[in-house]
Amino acid sequence: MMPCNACIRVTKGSMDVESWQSQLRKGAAELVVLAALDRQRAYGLQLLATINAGGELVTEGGLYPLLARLEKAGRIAAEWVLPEAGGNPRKYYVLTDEGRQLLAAMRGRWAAFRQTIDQLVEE
Amino acid sequence: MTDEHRINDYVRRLGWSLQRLDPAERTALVDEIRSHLIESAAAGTDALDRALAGLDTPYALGRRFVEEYELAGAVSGSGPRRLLVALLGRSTRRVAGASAVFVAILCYLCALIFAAMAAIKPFAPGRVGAWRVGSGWEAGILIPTSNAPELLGLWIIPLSIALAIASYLAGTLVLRHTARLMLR
Repeated sequence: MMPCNACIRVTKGSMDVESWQSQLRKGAAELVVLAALDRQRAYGLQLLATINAGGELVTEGGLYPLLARLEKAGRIAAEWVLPEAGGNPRKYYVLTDEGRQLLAAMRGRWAAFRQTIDQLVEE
Repeated sequence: MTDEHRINDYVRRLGWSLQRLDPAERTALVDEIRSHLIESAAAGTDALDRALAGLDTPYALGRRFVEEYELAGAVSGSGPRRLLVALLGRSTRRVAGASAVFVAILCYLCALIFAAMAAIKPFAPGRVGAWRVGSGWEAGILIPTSNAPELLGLWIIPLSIALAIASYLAGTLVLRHTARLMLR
């Protein structure tokens, strides 16, 4: 059976939206990770659970390279910790002073950006 | 294949994909991913399946790590070679990276030519210089038009050195600025 033109258009439109949403998530990932670490120190799996509690924002494959870069750039610091109850060692991350300054600057820009977009987009 | 085998297989392949990194950094990354997978597996095979799917293939994850490490390392260091290599790696996907590499290569070529002019002038003074030709002028390493008056003489040596340094710094500045933009 041949697909109708309307179906093709809808499918293509959905793919465009998915791609756009993926770019939005990617752009927000650094801010979201820094904000989560500002609340408490956390290890990778814990960060994923916190960040994705309301819907998937960051994947494992995006999170760990991002953490590696932030650590390399001195915006977060890490230490390996063995849980007191035993078990798997975990690499915990905390914000550095530089990371905290970056987060403050990003929050300011984010607020202004959100306000501008809201004004333009909201019906 | 048991969960343990799957985890070992994944981290072994990831380790191979991270060969370009420093061994200590590679070990740290592999240990962290192993820890993530072991803790996911503790919640059940389905959780491990989701974790492996979320990480993507070991090769894809390794490539992302290498890209991020090289770029972060290149920005914190000052070597233009590292910046150039890191941005070249991304330039296939990003227009900004490709443009920066192109401009930087032009700058480095100019720096090379100016440095060569400064180096050759003492040994072949007639071949290097700036000459008045008609209503304009020409400069570089070339055979001058006969009887064309030379404008700078030996002053072209310090001028070429200054231009070589300026071109080199401009190329490095373009690479570093673009790398910072791409890190945001």
